[in-house]
Amino acid sequence: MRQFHVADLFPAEAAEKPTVTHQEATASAHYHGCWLALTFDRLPLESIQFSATEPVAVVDAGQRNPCLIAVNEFARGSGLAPGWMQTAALAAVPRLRVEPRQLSAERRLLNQLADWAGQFTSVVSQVDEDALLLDIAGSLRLFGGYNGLLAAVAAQYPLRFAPTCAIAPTPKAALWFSRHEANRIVTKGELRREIATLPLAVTRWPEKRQSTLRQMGVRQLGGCWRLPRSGFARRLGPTALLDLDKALGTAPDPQIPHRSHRYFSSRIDFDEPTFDRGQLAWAGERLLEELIQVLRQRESGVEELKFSLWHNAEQSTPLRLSLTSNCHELARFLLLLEDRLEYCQLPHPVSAISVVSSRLKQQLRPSIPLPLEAGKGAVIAVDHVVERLRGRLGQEAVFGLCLVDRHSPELAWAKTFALPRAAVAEDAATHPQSRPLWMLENPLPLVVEEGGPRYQGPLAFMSGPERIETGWWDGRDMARDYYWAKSPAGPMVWLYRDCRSSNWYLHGFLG
Amino acid sequence: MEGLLADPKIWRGRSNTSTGLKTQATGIASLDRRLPGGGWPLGALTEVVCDQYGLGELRLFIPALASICQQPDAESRWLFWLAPPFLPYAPALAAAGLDLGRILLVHPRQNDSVETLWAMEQALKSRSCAAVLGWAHQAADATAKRRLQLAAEDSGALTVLLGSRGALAQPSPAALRLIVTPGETGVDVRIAKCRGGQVEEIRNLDLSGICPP
Repeated sequence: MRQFHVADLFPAEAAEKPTVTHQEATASAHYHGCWLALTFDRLPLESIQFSATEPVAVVDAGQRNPCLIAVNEFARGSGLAPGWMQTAALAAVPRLRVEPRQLSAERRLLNQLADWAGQFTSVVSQVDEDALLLDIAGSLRLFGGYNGLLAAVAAQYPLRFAPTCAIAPTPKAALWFSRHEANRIVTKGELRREIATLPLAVTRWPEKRQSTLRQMGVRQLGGCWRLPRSGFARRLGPTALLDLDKALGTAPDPQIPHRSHRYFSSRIDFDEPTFDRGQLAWAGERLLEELIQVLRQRESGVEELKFSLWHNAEQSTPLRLSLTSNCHELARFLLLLEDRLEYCQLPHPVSAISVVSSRLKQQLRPSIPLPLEAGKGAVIAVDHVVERLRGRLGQEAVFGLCLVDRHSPELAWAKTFALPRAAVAEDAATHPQSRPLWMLENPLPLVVEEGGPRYQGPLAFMSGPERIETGWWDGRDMARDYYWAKSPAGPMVWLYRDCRSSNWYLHGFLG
Repeated sequence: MEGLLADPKIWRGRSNTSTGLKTQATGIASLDRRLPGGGWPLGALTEVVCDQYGLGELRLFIPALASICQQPDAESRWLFWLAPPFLPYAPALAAAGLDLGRILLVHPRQNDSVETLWAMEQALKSRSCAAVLGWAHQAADATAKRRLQLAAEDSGALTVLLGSRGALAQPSPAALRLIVTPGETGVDVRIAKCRGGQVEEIRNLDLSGICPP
């Protein structure tokens, strides 16, 4: 029996209208690169422990007639395969151990794998919850060609079940090849020919579409190309046509790059609520070790950590650890945490401890190490001292001083919290002389008796007045006459008379 | 005879020969003459008792701090000021010759001296400071001062604890203890305790050369 093709039914149309692959000859742009696809078909099995002689299968437990999603080697040897119904599988292999699928664990694993794959290329994207696409056009030379790259991937794969790899000029083609056969390398010239031999199942199109194509007599993708374009799009949907174009490289196929998590968070729950600070310190150290591992993988550091000691579901005691610079050293975090735990107040017993970090930042230069064996001779950088003091006394408690170019004495200086800073060479000659070493934050109003201000007795004026009149342009208007005077109790005081209100104020001591 | 006299176990009355102390010159000639070693002791605690701040007790240390700032050797030698009673005024400090980039101010939240002394100890233990000045506003505990003395010995920095008579009443292991009171034309400094030296009084110490108004 002669096989019917759709083209035979509409021969005139087939001659005039462009077929599916006609586009390729006329298109001027080809979207070809070099892509590696990794399909993890046994990812659901990763989080399950089993021995080599135990048949295990994973099913999607939510469905009415659950099907097998993944089977291990032993079960495969017994004849099972993904796609079997659970009841049929149990009938065939009664010893089969069936585990429910854990999507959240799989997603986490896929994220970790995406982070791991970042060492081969900078453009990694996740597809379909069980595959990764890597743009390796730029990495081939580093790894020594296709085979070198595949060998590197195989050698450094961290999980148990190796993925199936395929390399092709377009991402979609690479994905389809990886679903079909392992370690397939397809170059640009043979792309069209090789795609033509792929079965329909690799595209993972909806079952309805695939059965329509099968009824038309199309079992491999090559059959799709003899069909007219417009008819194909009308009957099977424009997405199917677009998929084929993307696979051939005649349509662009941009991928969404994977971005690692920008923050770290983790939590440890205790079996029983506890007041024991030793236990809290131990749990905090475990969390910090986890953080350090993540930081090492991403080559980043953090500047701030917020620990929370949970008393119940809503109440928690926060502990903020803040560092002067980007850091990924366990010792520094641990020191600060132990300090804070020692002095913090615990109103209720603690049932869980959690940590959230600030944004992970790329570590550009090595952070200053803390000499752990700080014996007699070790010099600890001032960063650590500042961190420690701030940890116990508060963030605002430690600061430096700097000059501000303003006439008004209160505004001629400022605090700086960005520490430590390099030694600044100030030009001392530009500063007016005759300023007190001690200044009061709030000028003290003085009582005026017998014609003069009094501070611990009558004041004897030594020098003055120095008129300072400034600030009319920004609302802090002041006009003051400053004098130096000696108080009978001893200190030399710096006081001023406000020109507007004629009140006397004490502003500083000579020191 | 010379060999006998050079023996360090022999204490020679009024002479103030250096006993191997490392000191930082105070910059004030009459004080330098009276202090053992010719200056502020480095690596030991110095206590200054003054009932009223602003007399000139800070100016006693300004020349020494200025010369520490000008030392070319280490850029990472910091000056820590802990719990000062008033604001150290930056323009005046800069005019006096101190390097503002190397000054760190620490303000403990509570007024008790526990945190002040703890912070001084941390600063000294790190050995990244050249001078530590702390103000004790309430009675400073003797054991804390002992720990401070040990930390100071370890670090070799200029360590000064200032306070009122009540705050520094407890017996202390300080190497040098001064009592500063107002005099007629200057300040009266009484050296109440010093290593190998005598109790001395300096009347009307003239500090007008330092930061003249």
